[in-house]
Amino acid sequence: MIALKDVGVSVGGKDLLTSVWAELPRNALTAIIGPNGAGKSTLLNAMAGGISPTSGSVAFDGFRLANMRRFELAQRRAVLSQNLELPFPLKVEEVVALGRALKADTEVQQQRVIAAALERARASELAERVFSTLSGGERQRVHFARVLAQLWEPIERGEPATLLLDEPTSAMDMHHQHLLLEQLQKLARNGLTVCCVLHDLNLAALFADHVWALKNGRLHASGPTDEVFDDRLLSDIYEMPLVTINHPQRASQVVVAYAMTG
Amino acid sequence: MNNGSGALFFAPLKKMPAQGVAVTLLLLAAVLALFNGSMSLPFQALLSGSSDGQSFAIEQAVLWHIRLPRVVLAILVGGSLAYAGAAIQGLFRNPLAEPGLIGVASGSALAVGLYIVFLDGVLSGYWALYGLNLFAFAGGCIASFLVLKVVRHWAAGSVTVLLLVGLAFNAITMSGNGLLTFISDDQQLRTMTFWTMGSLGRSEWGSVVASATLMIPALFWLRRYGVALNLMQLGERETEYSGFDVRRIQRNVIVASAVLVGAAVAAAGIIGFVGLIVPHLVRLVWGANHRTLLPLSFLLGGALLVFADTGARTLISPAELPVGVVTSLLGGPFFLWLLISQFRKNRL
Repeated sequence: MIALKDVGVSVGGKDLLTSVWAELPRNALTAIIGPNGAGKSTLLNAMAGGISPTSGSVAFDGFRLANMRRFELAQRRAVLSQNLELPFPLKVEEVVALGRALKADTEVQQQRVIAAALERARASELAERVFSTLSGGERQRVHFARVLAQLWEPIERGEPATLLLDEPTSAMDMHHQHLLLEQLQKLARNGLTVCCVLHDLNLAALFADHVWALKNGRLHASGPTDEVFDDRLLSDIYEMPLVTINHPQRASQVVVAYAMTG
Repeated sequence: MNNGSGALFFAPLKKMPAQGVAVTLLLLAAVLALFNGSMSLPFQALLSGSSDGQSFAIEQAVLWHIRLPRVVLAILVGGSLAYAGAAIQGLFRNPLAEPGLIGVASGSALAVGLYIVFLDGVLSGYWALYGLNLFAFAGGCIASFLVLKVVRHWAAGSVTVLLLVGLAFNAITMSGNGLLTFISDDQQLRTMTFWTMGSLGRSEWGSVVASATLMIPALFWLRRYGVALNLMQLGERETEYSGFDVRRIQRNVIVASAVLVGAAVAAAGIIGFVGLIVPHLVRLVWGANHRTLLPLSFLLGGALLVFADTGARTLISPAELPVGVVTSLLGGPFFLWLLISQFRKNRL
């Protein structure tokens, strides 16, 4: 489990995050929302250990993240960053195999995990393609398969592990966005702790158990999704008029914007 | 990603087993090199051992003590340069990176220059045999670490800056070598010219052994970084997230590459572009997985240098062209093509 204690990050005198106190809820899907530049990716990277906080500290399962060994951490948490491009032509299965880099798999084991991860990520048909020829949404599915492959043992055994994703669906069509978030939800039900930066508030409303709302580097609100999805709170964060209405089919909300000058 | 015509041209090769093709090419090159040269060797007679007296002994000596060590050294040098090139391109995630461009080769060359002017003939025994290699290796290490430090510290790892800093280092070491030519005597001057042009003309079993004892361990050491280099393609942060120590990977890959390039420079001087071209050809045909890219680059790098050296020996026979001139003649246009195709790709 990840706990943030008074975490601040500043780069070149600019505060990207200020005094964030939070605990990532176990076995749940938490969405990080907020406008551009609110500090979402910075927060995710601080939780992942890619950015060390300038003040405060991050703890992973009770240990200071900064003191943990990379390879131990990599067995229990995987990170999916934004816009990962490859300079050289690797095949899709080779990209997914990167998720197994630490493991001493036999060829057969590795092939099995890669095939299963690709299937979960709905990317099986891409296996033989060259990564750089794929569209943005297809690339995101492949990278999703890669992080699943990294956490394959805990996923299969239902052991605790943490998955951090930065806008994993930004280039996907609506159908694949929903498929991916359904997967994340399923993983959370089976023991994973999932945290995902999302721009699409309606995806967050449909799938997230908890929401962290950031604004100007501060954790503006956090809690169960239906509590954070409050008209005034959302309008305040995004500085535009927003209303939530009940979803006609599901017990969740839909966020609707209306004209600012009307 | 596949540059149209190139992909089409290499398509039939893709279906064949990569190692088989590479080994066949290397053997072909070696046989061609062994039996071509300013002195023609009747190779049937040499293999069967049935020939007459005196000329046979000379022919055998040419084969075993002149041609064969030269071919073996060409394989080691060409293979090592291509291997280091593949690793460095992977490490810096840049197709234009090359041992020559990031300061390894020129650092080695400056160290070799210093050795020739100040230490050659002073040392004896093993120091004489390995001194040059160790100097070249140390020079390569120091130069590439300085380049890496500068880039890490002031330019946050920007690859464009890396190549420009490498360029600046090349200029500095070149002027260093220029200064050395001023204070060197005639003999030293000739030796130094030989290094900067690149030639396998001084091959003998002694230099083969000296190179092999440095190169072979470095090759095996670097081979262990195949998976890490694949991971580095995702970027430094992702490599850390996947449980690997990026700084350690960078340091070890650079040291191993500096050993390879340093030993190659010590044995044969500066031979340009082998380290740049060969990994690209391999990627074009067999893909970019470093676990296969590295060994295939060695085999094909060896084959290319053996071919180029055979050309250098026979084109204006009985005189000899420096092999560095031949590889640069091939490599220059290739580099231009690479630059243009990169530029086109980025503009799309």
